[in-house]
Amino acid sequence: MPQAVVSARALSKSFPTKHVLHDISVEVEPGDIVGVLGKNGAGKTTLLELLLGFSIPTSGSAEIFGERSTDLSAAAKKRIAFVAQQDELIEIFTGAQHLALTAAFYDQWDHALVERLSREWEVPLTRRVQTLSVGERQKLSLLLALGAHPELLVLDEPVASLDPIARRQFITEIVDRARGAQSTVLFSSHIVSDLERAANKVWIVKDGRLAWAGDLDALKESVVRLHIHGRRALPRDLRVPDALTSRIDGTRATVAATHWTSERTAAVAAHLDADLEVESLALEDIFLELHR
Amino acid sequence: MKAIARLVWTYLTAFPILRWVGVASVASLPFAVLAIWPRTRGFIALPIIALAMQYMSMTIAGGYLFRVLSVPRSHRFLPHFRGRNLTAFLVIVALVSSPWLVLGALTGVSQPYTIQMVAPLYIMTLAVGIAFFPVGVVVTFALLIAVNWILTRLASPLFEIHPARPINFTISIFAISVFLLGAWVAIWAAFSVWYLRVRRIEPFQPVAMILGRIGISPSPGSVVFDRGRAMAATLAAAYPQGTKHTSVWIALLVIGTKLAAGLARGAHVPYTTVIFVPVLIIPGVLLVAIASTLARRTKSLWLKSGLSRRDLLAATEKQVWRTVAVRSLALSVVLSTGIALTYDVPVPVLARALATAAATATLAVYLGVALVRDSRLIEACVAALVFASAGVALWAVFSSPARDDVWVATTLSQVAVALAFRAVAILQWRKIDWLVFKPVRVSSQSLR
Repeated sequence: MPQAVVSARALSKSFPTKHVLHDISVEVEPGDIVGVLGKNGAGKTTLLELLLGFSIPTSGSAEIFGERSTDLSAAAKKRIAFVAQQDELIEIFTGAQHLALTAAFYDQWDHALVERLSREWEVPLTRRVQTLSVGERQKLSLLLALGAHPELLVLDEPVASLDPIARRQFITEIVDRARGAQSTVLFSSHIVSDLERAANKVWIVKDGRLAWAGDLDALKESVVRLHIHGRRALPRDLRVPDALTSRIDGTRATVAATHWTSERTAAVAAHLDADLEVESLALEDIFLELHR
Repeated sequence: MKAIARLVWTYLTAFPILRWVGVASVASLPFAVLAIWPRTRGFIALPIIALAMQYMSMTIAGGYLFRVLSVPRSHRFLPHFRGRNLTAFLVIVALVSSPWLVLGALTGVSQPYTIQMVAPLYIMTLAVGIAFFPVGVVVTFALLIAVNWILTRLASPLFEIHPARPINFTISIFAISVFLLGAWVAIWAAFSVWYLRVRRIEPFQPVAMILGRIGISPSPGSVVFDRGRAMAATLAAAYPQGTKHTSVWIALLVIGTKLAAGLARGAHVPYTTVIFVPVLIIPGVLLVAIASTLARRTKSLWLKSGLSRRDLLAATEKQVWRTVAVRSLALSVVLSTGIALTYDVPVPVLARALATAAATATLAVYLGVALVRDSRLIEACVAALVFASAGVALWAVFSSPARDDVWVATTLSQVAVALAFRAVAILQWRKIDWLVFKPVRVSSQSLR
């Protein structure tokens, strides 16, 4: 089994007035594209920055390429690129100057890739950052991260301000890069459709805890919506295992449940003396059900 | 009105330290009143230092924020943003001026000698505060020269200054006040017209701007980065500034000071302390904020540079000393030497004052890099420590007779505390948390 690119064990983070993350344990393998989902303030940024060693965990530990995140060696750091939610661009610099500045830090800087992407994404390199739109700034930030040819690319809300064409181009690029375990990508986003298109694994952060960490396909198979048609009035407590939400209206009920299997369908139907219809959910619906 | 009130609140609270400094200075106002009340005759230095602390930090930080808020293109599209920003800034100047005006009025009627300390400090801080960031370095310098000229030529009845070329008519305090006020109103009216019409406001890059105008600043495409220059540029969020830039900057400073000194030569000012205090304290104190700002930017170097937390502290320390600290000290040395030559201040006094400025700057640098917890209370205490220590040392230097024992003890204490804070910084940076210690940003919600 290949060494995990990122791993965290019982990671927790508290600030003086707030407990942000509780007991997070995750692993990311080479070639994974992990989408991190969560409501505003759920702890996504804190989680990503803890994993990268920007912050010190209150308890637990995080490792990247087998090294403790807070003490990463220079060699390990060279293999990582990060795009923060709020860009760190210098207002008076042009895009070209930013590229030159960032390239100075990396021996493996990929000039050809940067040239190609800046052309395809139409990044205005000759204008100063202060004159760029939010979307153009975001494209430049992504370009700076990709140019370093990272083995681990961590992106915190990287596409929020991009237009649909630019978002599609970006996703194609990271999927291509992850193919053949060339690169591992960890990205948070509110745009669930993008995440669904690109990610093979999903972490759902809810109130500082991981509500799900695993394969996207497994998540989709696991979380379902049950439409229950009872032969008589349904009880107030349906006792559906791992139910997330339920709405009961006489002989009919709708229940969202997780960890679902076909055996459970038969068991619940027998227990309630009802017909069960199992509906698969899109990621966005799963996210909503998990947060109701 | 609500939008302006929100902006004013942003000005008062954007930088964590301002809230605490504001509270401390407002709390000190009753003591200032008591200290100058005719029947009590208390120790006036303490409340003046507290007020100066609030006034300097608020006007200078306000000027900086004014510039920062004006730069983003997106802010231009907020409704009437520039008009509201101008109004809010003027409200801030009025708010922080009011305790000084009360103090000035009280000193005028109770202890006439203290107005010689209060008024020039107020006027000079106002000149620096409202012009340095919003308008620019050149205008600030011109304003300071004008203030200097007025103080040494026209303001003699008020400040007991013996002018170089006595005037044969008397000008009332009222006339001088109206003249000064009128000058600032004219400058601000001209600035407001320009500010409301201009398409884009550039970020504050005084050296880069001046050098750009004389053709020394780098043009887009001409900048070549090696690793060291890239580190420096990332920390400074600016073009890397080399020895050539610093030399040109110092040369411009010397020329400006020489010009100002020439205008005032021959005049005698009995209270040189109040002229020395701003040029010796302000550059040093600004270093706390600049060092802290650079330290906050190390977040973006954590992965790129490959450096450990300890090495990032060393890189920050090096950058601060090589650029801003050199310029801050040069500013203090050139300006105070100019003042000393103009007003015949003895060399030993000047030397001691400069030693205090250097100790204050050292203290400021290490306080700036050591405070990585983002604690407002600690920051406020630090601001008080820097101001108070520099104030006490300068008071000892300029007292008559000089209090050398106090000066030596205070200056050595400053250096000792600076070294202690360096040790604290080394310990703190092992656990630096960039989720907490991050660049200060102003939420656009507070500007609507």
